[in-house]
Amino acid sequence: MSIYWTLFFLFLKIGFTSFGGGYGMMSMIMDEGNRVVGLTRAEFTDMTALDLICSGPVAVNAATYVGYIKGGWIGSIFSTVGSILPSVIICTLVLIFLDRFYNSIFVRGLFTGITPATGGLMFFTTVTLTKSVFFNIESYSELSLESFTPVTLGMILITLLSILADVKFKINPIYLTLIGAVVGAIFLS
Amino acid sequence: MDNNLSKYYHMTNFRKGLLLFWIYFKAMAFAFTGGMAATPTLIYEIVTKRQLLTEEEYLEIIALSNSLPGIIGINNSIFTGYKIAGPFGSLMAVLATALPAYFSMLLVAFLFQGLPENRYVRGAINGIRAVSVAILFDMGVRVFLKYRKNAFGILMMLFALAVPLLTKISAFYTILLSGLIGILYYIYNQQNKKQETAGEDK
Repeated sequence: MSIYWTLFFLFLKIGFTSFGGGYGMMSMIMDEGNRVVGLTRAEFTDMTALDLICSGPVAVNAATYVGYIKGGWIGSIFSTVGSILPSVIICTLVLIFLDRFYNSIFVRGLFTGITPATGGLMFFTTVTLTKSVFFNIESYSELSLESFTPVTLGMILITLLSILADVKFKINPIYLTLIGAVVGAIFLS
Repeated sequence: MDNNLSKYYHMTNFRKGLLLFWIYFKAMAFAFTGGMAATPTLIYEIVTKRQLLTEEEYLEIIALSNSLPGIIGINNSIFTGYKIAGPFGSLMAVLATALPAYFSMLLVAFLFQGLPENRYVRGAINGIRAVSVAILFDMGVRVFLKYRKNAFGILMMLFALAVPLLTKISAFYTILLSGLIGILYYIYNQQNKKQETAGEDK
């Protein structure tokens, strides 16, 4: 299968199974993207940051980015269409069967299980990313004292402060990203 | 107000579709950090200014779009477009949602790849990556806060964290498994409720 169709089916699969919008999709893009098209952790983290400065739905941005870096501009069209198609199919079905859909035990049960699981996957994504983003290692068994360089410690500090700023003070993530870039250019260079 | 309503009421679906394209395109082009950022603009344009839908109708669409899989912004534009101007309305609203997102990312990805390799750029990217980790973590925290008083919800979160982390099962299959567990739990709960009400009746 050509890379274009691989990208198309990757995002089709992700679109059908992710709840809670773009951020719910992130864990799936990191995991499946890595398995299917070899998306690296670094490419993934760059993507999450670039998403914030692009307009429109994060999930469309993400599909475009992965398609572009793995398959050029043609790849980006295939992945973007693939990411939109599940919404189109599901919403059309809902428009046709609205009442029966909402009263179905299966659909209600599905939501009961999947919505909190999406949160768990977000923590999984964070834990997995810390390995490559901070320490540049594949698994935590490779961790040693030498992994703690000044740059690593600086990045961990930025992450902790950002979590505080985001959760506690609800600062707009765009500003956090810009501050992160400036602080990084000054102190982590 | 009645004047304004009738003005759009007599419009053909084709013209309403083109109007929707323009409304969604403007709102999405300036919605950074995600599709949800367009919501206030869309409510103003669709409900307040043009009265194409009532506020209640639009809020129902938001709730429905949020509860379905897929891309929330696209779900929203399909339902809103359909309600205002039929299938053509859906098509126009979807295109107007996807195109700004597609072209802005294409441009940004292209520029990002062309960044010079020097220590300041490296440092800035490191800083941005550190913030990205924090933002992703915060998304998990938000779901956690929503479910903190729900034992089943907490268990499902732990399940979805542990399975892909400790086993070779991918995030994709973890979600399918969570859905299956959710269905079983829901059916079990419904039957318990039935038995309880049956017990009370006696």
